[in-house]
Amino acid sequence: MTEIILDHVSKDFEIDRRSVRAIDDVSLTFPSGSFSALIGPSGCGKSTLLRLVADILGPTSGAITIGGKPPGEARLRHDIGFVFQDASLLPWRTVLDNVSLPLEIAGGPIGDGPRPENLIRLVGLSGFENAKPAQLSGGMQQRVSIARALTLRPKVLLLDEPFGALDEITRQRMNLELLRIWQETGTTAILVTHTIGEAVFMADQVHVLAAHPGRLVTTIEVDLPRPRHLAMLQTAEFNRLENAVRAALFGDELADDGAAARPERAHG
Amino acid sequence: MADEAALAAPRPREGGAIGRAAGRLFAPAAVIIVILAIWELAKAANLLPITVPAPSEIAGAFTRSWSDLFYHMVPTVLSAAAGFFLATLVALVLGAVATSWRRTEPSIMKFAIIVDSIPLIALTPILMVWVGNGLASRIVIATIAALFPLVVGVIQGFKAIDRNVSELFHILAASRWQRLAKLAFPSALPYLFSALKIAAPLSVLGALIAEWVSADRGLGIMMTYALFSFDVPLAWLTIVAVCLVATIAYGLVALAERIVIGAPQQTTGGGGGHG
Repeated sequence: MTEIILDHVSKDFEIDRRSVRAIDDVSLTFPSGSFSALIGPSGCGKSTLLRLVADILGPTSGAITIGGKPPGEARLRHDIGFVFQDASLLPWRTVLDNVSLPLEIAGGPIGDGPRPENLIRLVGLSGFENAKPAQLSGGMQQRVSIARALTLRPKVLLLDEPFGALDEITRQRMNLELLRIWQETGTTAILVTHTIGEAVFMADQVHVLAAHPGRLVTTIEVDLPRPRHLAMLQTAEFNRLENAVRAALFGDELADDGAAARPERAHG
Repeated sequence: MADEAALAAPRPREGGAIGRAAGRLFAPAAVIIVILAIWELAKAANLLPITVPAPSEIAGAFTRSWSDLFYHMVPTVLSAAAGFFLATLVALVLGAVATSWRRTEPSIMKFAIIVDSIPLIALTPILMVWVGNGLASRIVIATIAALFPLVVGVIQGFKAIDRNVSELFHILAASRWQRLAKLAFPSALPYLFSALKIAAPLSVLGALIAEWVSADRGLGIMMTYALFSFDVPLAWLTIVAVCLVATIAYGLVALAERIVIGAPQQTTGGGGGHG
């Protein structure tokens, strides 16, 4: 089981010799095999949170466990797959060689891990094995990066605004495929996003964060049935959930709309 | 999917490669021929000083002394090539150390700057005393002459690593060696080749300087002899020969770059590759 638990996690950064709190006392549980979304304004530390789970950064205080073990152990066991905002492919390698990179570094497949060719098929890029990243569109590059993240059959899949740079239509398609892949692989997935609809559509839980310092506002449970499909975007239930996330993000700014601004607001 | 596939279809690039290469050579060749013609006419009209021979006189020197020229060219090419490869090796090691242990980088850069600011013309006689005035000392001088741009290029190249990809290698628990071989070195290649293209002619110049000071064979000593005996066309012939050697050295590196990296890189990014 690969439950991810954040226990009173805080993270400070040194900026110009001043300590700035990026994440303030966040406690979260990501159930094993679930799909969670982190949403919040820029500066809420959602990417930092993901990097803490991936053991790229260490927390200033508090503890993180992945399946009961510290993130460093999970990382060394190749249990973590990470998809970056830009595809971050090696431009001199072909699609196949990019997807195979984790195997080369780990020195072979982990257990009965998937073959790179099969992963390329899984993300719908059959026939492009020998293309270089520069020959692919942004959406296709990001598919390669997802295939690469799955190569070592990770128990945890971390997605840092993976489709943020794509147009709306491509993004919807990619999201559907991502859900299909997630269900096939059974990983615990955490998606960082700044799109309300995307968070609700993808996740079992949407964790809403606030900025300066980054902190947890609330968690909204999404009880839409799976598999999700595009028609759900038009249901009343979906709208209600979107509105709940929006309310958590904007707080009483929403309630103030149209009403007379309170005097202290006028000072900005 | 369909529209993405259409975007991605690689364009054929092979067609008419020879024809285009010829086209690329034609313009510079025409310019050189025009310059030579003007030069020849100017000399015939007595517009040029006695120290500048007509191109035909230089050609005459070549027909007179071509066997001498090639005899002297061999050691120059050898010491330049050896110095070039040695400098590349040293720069790669220094660059790898500077990138793997970040704290060493300032010291390595300072060392490279100091080595580069040594006046070679003054160092050469001192080095001859230490190493002897054989091939070894000329190779060392050629190495020093070529070293600085290579060190800068390698370090800059090793640093030109995408932050996310660097994080990816961390997540994959890559070893120091894997990081160097699979990430740092390939990322550095375009920078390395730029540096190699600067360094190749410099190593020829280094070999030449060493030969000026002391050598019994080499383009440098041939040049000195020609100057002392006031054989102006021969002196110019050696200059042309050095230029050619340096240009060919540059050309070989550029060729190697095309073979290793491929055609000039298109910028990566959404939708690239068309246009």
